[in-house]
Amino acid sequence: MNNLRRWIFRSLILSIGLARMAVPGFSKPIHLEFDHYYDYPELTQALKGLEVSYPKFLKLQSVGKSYQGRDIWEMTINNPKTGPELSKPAMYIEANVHGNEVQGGEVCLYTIQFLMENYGRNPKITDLVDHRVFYILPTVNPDGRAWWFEHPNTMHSSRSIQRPWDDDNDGLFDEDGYDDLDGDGQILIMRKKVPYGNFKQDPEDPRIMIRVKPGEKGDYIFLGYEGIDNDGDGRINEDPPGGYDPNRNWPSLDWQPNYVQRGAGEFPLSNPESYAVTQFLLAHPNIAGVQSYHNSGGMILRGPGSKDVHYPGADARVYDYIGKTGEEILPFYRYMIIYKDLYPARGGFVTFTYETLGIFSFTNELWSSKQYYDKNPQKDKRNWYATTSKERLKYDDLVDFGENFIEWKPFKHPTYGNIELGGWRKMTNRINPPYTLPELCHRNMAFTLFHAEQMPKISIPKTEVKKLGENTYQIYVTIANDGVIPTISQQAAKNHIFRPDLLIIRGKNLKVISAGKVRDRWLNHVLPVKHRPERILISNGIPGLSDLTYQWIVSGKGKTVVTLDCLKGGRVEKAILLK
Amino acid sequence: MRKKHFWQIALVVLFFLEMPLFARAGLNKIRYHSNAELQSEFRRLQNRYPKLIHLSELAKTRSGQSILLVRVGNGMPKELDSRTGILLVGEVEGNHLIGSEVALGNVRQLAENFGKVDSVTARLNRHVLYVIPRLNPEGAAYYFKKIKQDHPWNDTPTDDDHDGLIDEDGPEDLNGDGRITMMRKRDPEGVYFSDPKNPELLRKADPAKGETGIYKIYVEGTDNDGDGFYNEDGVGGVNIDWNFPQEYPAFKVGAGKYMESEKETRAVSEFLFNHRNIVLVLTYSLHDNLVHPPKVSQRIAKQTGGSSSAQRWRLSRQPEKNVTRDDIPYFDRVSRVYKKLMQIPKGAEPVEISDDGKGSFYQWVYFQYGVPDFTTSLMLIPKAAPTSTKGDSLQEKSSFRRKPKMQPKQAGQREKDPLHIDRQWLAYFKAQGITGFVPWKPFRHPQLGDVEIGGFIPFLRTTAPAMGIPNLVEKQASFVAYLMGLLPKISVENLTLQKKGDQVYSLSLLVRNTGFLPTATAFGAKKRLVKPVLVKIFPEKGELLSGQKVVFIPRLDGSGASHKVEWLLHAPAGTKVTLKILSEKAGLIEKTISLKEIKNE
Repeated sequence: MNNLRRWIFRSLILSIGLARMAVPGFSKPIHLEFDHYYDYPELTQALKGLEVSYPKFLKLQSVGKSYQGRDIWEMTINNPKTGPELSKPAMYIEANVHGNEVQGGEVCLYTIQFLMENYGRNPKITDLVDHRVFYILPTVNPDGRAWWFEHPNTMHSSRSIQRPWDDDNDGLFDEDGYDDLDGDGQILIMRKKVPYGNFKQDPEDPRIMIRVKPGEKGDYIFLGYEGIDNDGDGRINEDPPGGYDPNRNWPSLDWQPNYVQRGAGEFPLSNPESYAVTQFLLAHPNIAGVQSYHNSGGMILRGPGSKDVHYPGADARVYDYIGKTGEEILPFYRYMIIYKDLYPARGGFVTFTYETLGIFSFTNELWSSKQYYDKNPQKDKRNWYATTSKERLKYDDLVDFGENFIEWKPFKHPTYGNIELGGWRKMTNRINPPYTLPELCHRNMAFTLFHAEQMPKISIPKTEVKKLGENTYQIYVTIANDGVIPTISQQAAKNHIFRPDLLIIRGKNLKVISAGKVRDRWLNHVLPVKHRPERILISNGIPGLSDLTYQWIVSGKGKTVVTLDCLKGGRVEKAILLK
Repeated sequence: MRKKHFWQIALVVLFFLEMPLFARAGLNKIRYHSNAELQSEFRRLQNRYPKLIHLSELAKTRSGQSILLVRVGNGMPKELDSRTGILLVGEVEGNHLIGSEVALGNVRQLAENFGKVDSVTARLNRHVLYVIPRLNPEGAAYYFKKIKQDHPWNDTPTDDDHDGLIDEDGPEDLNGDGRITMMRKRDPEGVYFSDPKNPELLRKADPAKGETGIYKIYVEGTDNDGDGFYNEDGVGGVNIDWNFPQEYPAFKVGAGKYMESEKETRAVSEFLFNHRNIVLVLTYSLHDNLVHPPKVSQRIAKQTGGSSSAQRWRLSRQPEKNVTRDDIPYFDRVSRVYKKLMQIPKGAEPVEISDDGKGSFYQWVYFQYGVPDFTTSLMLIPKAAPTSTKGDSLQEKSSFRRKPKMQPKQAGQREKDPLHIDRQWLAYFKAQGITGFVPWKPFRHPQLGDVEIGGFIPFLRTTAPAMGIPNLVEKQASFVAYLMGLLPKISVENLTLQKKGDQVYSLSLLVRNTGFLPTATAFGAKKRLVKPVLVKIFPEKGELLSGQKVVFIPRLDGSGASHKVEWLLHAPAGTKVTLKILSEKAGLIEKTISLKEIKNE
């Protein structure tokens, strides 16, 4: 029934998409529903449908191919009327770098559709679309997404890209993965009743297995996930497809090889997916904010990913402001530092984009199963991130009508003999129930749009001209940043990651005699700019919610133009008349 | 005058390359080859030895230059890739061209000796030699420009002075001598003064010693972009030998935007991981571990002491920076042979860069690819008595891109004289009676006014004149052949089958490594960078009563060390049993026996 509905929906989108491609801008825009999860082909169709629905704003492109040859889609949202892409600060949003952490893809689709449907209707959204650019990549691991949807899997299998890796070091690649023995489309857990075991059934709920206490005899053992010894080496499921952790392959400052960080890959950006995405990032220096969606646990994460790296205080304060606000936008979510509050993870994506590229970056771990019961994780300090089996089963029984737990059933295993199969379907626990999807999408989008709003907003609010003598003038120029995020992060300024902001004065026959940074306008403390006074370098950028004043002494006359040019803040100009 | 100068340079080479006098005729034909010439030299070799030498393209650089990959061995390329072998990398830093030439010479000499010298013939029949003669062709191209300037980096556009402009202010040859040297200007704000011992060298004044500076120093050229800095952002680039992810020097000017950011770096990394049959690497770069092999570090010595298992576990998850204790004897042994083969005179020191190998290729090979990397700069300078004064080397203050210091290692030196390297070179040039330093001469600079131009001659200290190469090649080629003779080789011995009962057989064998090197470095085995030796058993029928279907031997020492494997089988008589013994670095053996036979091998 579910499949039939999905099939009808998919062909509907396909036909609308195709019809609209034939006559763009003619029929009504498509409207995506967030009542189910989108597999890779449907995601592709949805993106194409959105692009033809809003051709003025949206541009869909492939930033590269995955290992198995799937496109890594990127949707650009830009209003060309307010300037070309690179002249505006951009928010980069991506999801699903781990193949099984799928719902970020839906948040991305939701964001595109929400921005488009509310443009021109809601003034805040209109302003965002007009003054920011969005680069949205709903899946940066398309092979992983396709694998997770199309094959029998668990909720945890697999994070990897679909590039073979020799997990068991036997010279063979991906030769012994899970097997759906009973053909129900799920990878379940195998248990076996034995005379002496280390587990027993929970007397209150026999579906739950509990470990026996010292002095107690058990009658069950666990045999791992559903599978057989495919390669006849005497072990079961020891080398499943993939084996990389695509979120440990980025050249952050703390990248280390596999022996230090599991899943790191051979060298930074050795995976085709991470290489393609990095080329995209480097080609778009206007990216001033980064958001990555994962699952699960209900977290708003920032680096450092290991204790080897230290973040400058000024940047940490910006992070804290956005993160703490996020905790209010996203009830259940906690703002955390990766290595301290979660676990050390080297070579991660958001640590790469901040440490190496100097961009403020967050990871959201979407959804916490605590949300089944509205329990506030902030209060439950010991076990705030996960529910117990008992809690999940109760929820499954009462709210999901037993949709997600498959009861233990006997099975004849070729190696183990009589065993039982049972356990959770993959679409649970880490994945939120579909009826909660719109809210999850909306609140996470709201957090990301809040971040996008805080990106630099530069202006030249004030200029002042004082005549010093014949054709000689003193000019004061005040430049300001109305965003919370500085035009250059401290990390970038300290390490010369990208170019300084430029304050340039131009005019016909204008001669710039000197320039200086005004430290105190009232006491007239001016720090001289020693060289090239017509092109002032602002190496530390304009801090958030601040202004800076500069002074020029010039000789000349008539129209003069002052330009403020920030790599991650855009460009503004102001004309001054010297008379 | 010119001619005299030519012979002076020729003389210096004699020492550099330890060449016996009048070694060969036709020395004047020997010279460095540009990228195109190097390619055609190799093509010529390929045409002459089509069965031995196979050329292909490793990758293209950003500007489209081709990086050459050469396979040497008796066989077709595909077959060669299935053998174990070694990799020789000729040049990593752009100004170290001598490596490319020696790599070319090595290949030529090995090919010539194939079929004539038994050891060479055997090694080229059994193994493969991969050669990347020039990893950084963009950098090497600078040697062939009209105006000579040391240029270790590639041509990747970079903003060295962090002003938003790319490669906008490079040096100029103002005095027209075809070299980029230094400028000094008398300036009231100057902080440098002429060193009393070597007046041509400049030293930073130390006010605490009553010294006053009178000079400012610059790289030869003009301030093209009017920012008050001279030649601070020339063309390029990234030094490939700083771009590898082992102790990567992040944010250092010239180290790249991030680890493995360069096409050259990625190309060689990918090549190595796709060719796990490479057992060791020989690198010609401005580093050395052949004259001075690595030593057991203090930290490791302590670590094996009384630390708890938890501490040891934590340490095992830390990035490693020191060569593992068990691998050091192998470095020592190869070093001893190398020094003997090269006839390295006592007191002579290898030319090196004092950057501790951070981000370098040779360190990365050992610590992240897991095989030994032997490296040498191919050049030596004599030991000089160090003096102890303080100040800045002339080389240091030149531009945003600090020129790496060439440095001989000096054991037991207490207080470092910052000029000691420069002094050594000067003393050496003087002793040889040659010009290595352009004397300061007045020049009228368009922006600075009266200055003097002078300084060390570019390339003289990183790329010795070419005449000594043939002699060097003779020794290096035999060293390459020696290395190829060290490779591990597995064999199966004492294959024993015994009938223990009806349909019950015991089977045992010894896996032996008859080569010199172990099947993996201790480090590579411990960190799973090198696959273990695998012993796999495939009985046609029946089952194993004991023993593993796949036996993992993490590391098998060389010189005949062995490992015994045993199984107990239950199968009908006549059952065929296939045994496969595989080692990434030591070859593959396949054997089938029938359970009827009772034999001792």
